[in-house]
Amino acid sequence: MKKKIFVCLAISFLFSTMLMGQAEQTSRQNFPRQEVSLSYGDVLLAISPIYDERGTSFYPNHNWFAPNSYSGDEISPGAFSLSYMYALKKWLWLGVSTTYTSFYQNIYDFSHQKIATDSGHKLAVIPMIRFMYVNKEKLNLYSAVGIGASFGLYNNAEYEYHAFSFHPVIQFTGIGVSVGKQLRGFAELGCGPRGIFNCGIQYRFGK
Amino acid sequence: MKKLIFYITVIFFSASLFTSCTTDEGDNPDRLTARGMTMTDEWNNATDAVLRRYADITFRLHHYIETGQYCQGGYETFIQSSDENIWEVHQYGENEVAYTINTNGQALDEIGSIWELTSFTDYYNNLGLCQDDGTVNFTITCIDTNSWNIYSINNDIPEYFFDVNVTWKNTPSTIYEYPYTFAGKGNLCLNDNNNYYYEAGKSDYSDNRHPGPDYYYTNNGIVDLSFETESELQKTHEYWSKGVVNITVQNMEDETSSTRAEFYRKNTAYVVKITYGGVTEEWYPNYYYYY
Repeated sequence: MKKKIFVCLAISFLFSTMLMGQAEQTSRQNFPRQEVSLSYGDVLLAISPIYDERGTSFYPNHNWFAPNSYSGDEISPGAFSLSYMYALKKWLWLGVSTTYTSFYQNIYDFSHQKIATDSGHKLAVIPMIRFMYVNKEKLNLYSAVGIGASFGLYNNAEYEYHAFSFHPVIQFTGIGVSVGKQLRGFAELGCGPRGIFNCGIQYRFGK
Repeated sequence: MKKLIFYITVIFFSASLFTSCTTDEGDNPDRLTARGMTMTDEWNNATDAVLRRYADITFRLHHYIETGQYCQGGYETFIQSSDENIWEVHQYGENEVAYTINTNGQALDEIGSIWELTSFTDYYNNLGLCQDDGTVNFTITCIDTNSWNIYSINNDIPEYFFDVNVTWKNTPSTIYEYPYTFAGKGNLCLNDNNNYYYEAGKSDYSDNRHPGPDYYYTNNGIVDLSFETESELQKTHEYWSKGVVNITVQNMEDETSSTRAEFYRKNTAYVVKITYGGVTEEWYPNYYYYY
């Protein structure tokens, strides 16, 4: 399974590199071809490495010999994404999006004192393809899709135990809107590691 | 520059909407004594099994000797051996002798009488009481009017024993005919030495927020369950209605865990006050009963 995912990733990167190479040979157009963006999204659909490893919280805990402790809610500050896109054409962009998400879960003893904090970290790397269907200078509307991989790290502070996880992910952006010139603000609705809703800033350069 | 500041402000405002989003609910801190409740369940199951297998059959035989009638719903046949004090018990119409009971020529309700029971067929789930020769031995001694001591020890592993006094208002024909009191102590093995790993599966006490599967034990291990009544218990034909018992479990890694269970009734409901890990909570137990 992991081999297949790596092969898919490699093909995706190769494909995007080839397309970028072809784009270099096309006639120059007067619009920024490169874009970096930083965004923040929700984690409503996220599955944390803590969940991957432990499942949902399992108290009432019937392991008679486990420490007398219980878990608090698992929380996440959100999904932070950094991406780079390159325009093959005005309406067709290729690139890669990386999203980092962290998760935390406090562990309490029976006197309700915090004794440890378990954590999970996820990094999703997703080659993306974006289609612009409104392409004005100051306003863009677009959709995007990508398939990639997510790498997870689970850190159980209570037992000093670590575990790694790995699985494929899909990012689908149903609708995105981008406003501005070189420095732009954007917001997207979709599903995937970037969140159902995510927004941020873009910087376009390289005409 | 102003735009940059504007955008960053928008981002952080948006971010604040999602900050500390709960992605999975935590444990239920109102049910910290769940382990104590499952220990109590296991203790209830184990003591019930001992009384049902090794005490009830003697009362059934007593009833048969007194009246010449089998108890209703019985599945055993009593055959007197050539030694008239020794009765062979066959179950489910099988030829194999399941038990022998030596009455020593005494009535079971006669103070001072001692009946000796030997079980030959409990190789599994014997709760640690099965000896190397494959037998489980019990003595039932009438210690007072309608009071009996029920005793067993595994002579090969003497740490396993059962030593309990039970009292009825009347001489029972089966152990579940009348409410009875229960006092004593014991040490039982929840899964025996037959490589039979006991993992109890999903607990009845998982709530909707925390569905199982949950397992009672770790390491596929044998777990010893010892108990001692702190005050005399009372049992109805449904569940325990009064009294206190202290229970300790120990696994093969010598890890131990203890709980205290206090039984009482609120109106008609059975309640168990469980003390575990310094926390005390009330539970409404699940119970099954037989007539």
